[in-house]
Amino acid sequence: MYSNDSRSNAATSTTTCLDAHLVACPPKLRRALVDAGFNNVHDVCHLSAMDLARELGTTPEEAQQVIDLAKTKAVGAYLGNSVTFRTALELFENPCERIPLGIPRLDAALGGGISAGQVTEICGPPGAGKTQISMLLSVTAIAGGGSTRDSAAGRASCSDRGVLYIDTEGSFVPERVEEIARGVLGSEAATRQLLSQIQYVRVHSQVEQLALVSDLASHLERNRNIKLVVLDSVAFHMRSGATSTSGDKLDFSKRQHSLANMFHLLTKLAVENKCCVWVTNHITVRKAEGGDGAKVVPALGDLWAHVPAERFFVWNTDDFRGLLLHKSPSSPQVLVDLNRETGLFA
Amino acid sequence: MAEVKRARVEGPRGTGRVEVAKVVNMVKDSCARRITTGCPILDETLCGGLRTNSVHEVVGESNCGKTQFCLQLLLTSQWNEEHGGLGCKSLYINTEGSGGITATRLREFADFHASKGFLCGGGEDEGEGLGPAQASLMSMDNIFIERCTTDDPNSLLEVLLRAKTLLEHHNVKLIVIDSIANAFKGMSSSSLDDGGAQKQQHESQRLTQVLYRTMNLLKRYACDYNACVVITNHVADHIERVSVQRATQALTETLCTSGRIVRASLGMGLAQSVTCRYFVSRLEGVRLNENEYDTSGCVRAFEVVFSPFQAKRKTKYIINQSGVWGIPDAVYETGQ
Repeated sequence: MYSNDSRSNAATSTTTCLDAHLVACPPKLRRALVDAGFNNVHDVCHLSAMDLARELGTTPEEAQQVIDLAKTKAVGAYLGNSVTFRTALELFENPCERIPLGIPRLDAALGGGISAGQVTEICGPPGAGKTQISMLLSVTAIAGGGSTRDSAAGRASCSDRGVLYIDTEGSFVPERVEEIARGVLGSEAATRQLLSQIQYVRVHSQVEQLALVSDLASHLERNRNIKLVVLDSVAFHMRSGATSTSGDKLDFSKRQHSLANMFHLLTKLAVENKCCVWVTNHITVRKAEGGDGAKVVPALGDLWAHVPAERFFVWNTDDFRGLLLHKSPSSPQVLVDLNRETGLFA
Repeated sequence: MAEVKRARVEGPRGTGRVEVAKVVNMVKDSCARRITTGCPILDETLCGGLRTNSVHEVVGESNCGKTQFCLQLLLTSQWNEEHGGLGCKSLYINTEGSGGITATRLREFADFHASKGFLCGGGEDEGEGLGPAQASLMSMDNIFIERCTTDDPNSLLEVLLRAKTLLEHHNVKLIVIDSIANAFKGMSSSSLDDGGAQKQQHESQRLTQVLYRTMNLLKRYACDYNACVVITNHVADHIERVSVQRATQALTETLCTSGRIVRASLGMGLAQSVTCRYFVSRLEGVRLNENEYDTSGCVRAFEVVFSPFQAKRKTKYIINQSGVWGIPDAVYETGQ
């Protein structure tokens, strides 16, 4: 009975007795390390590739690979930066950057605007104003919160922040952004300057979207001034491949996996680059179990629901256009009448 | 739209650079253009005409003038740029099976446009010296008409895939689908069914997917070829006791035509994949002075329901032999 399981047992035993930093080696090398008695990063670091190769019975290249890995990990361990602990007081005294929405009452409730370092979602029925608010946010992120109303007329300068606008639906209208920017800034030159700081990319399919999101980290690395990434919308391409009964038999679990991966990347992007990721989402109607009722819920299901830290809901009826801060870890729910409090939909 | 590069696809962990466009260049090059409707009042309602690089949806009950509006666009898009057209050819996809009537009516429109001197026949230089009759015939030749009346929505997708050559080599910049609802009619009937046999549900899911794919292809054409896409859509009665409809209605504006509340066909799936939606309706009990306006028909309304670049506006219009015409508000008051 024991011998039947020996393979898998051996595999687990190599990982348990090996230094956590060396587990990242390929399995074959992992075995060799354990067999030769190297358990710790520091056992390996000071050896030359040739020596280690002789000890392990591998090629020098492979040995070098192990040494490189060990060295990077060991340096991290010496400097003590592999894990850092901060106190609540430190966090409290260094709050994240906020990107103002330009809607005074909402910005006040949020403590200055949308928080950097997290994913924020806005959802609503088609035509409610998701894209309009996204375009407004792109402008105010650069203009630095000069809301249309209370900014002095002389405010014609803007910050050097950048914005990346990812358009998956083709609803981005540069002329409209210019209009909004001119309304906020007033001067022609400043408007042009602001527009030059907004980068735009159009995505045509689910594959492109996934590829783009995974390439974003390196893009933001090169463009460090980007403080806002707008994804309008996250749902369109994801939903077009949504059903498990499609003709080309799209593997459902595979799809869920790639979605989860993308969601994770978006969060990671926000945290690591300290930028705000603003995402628009569709809504869908879910029927109550057994009962007669139905309610409107954001699309993409539970997998997505945990990603955004803050969630806005926008809708438009005959006489009211509302923006509701629906979920937020720091603020109570706030309802704003967009027609009254912004000039956006006049 | 040459400025806007697509995100590069190099596998999931590609290290390809993200190619971005700067918005300031997009504004400067004014990549999106406008197609006039041929009527200054309607143009004003649309903030200058129909924008290219977008998908426009015209929703309305039957006999509201959706098709007439589209036919007019087929001609105005041929106008040269100083008149507000694109000087381009167009593709008209008919799913309703009224092909013969379309051509006759189109000829009527074309004669009128030619007599006003707006049409020059080919878009190319040869049309300059043509008489109105010839110009009108030539302009008919610039309109590709495709009929697609089968039940299977995949055939619409196939037609659109084939249409790529038209966009690529034949200067087609306007695609009209009249109507999208008819091509996907299987969907609305099965989604109405509250109970939903499983087979029917699968069918509905399959259609939704085809719809998404069709719309995505249209958007792609609109973006890649700076084209304008116009689709028409039907309405269905709003039924308060269907819970799904009630929930949706609470968040959206009421559409009203001939005195009843309606909703656009094909549900949220379509609404979420068009750039802007217009609603055309018939106004009950409103007549105009028939001597002043050459029409015997009723007065209709044209309304922007949502659009990322147009303010919400509403105008009244009529249809007569020469086309679709907006009426100034002032005249409408006295005509009442």
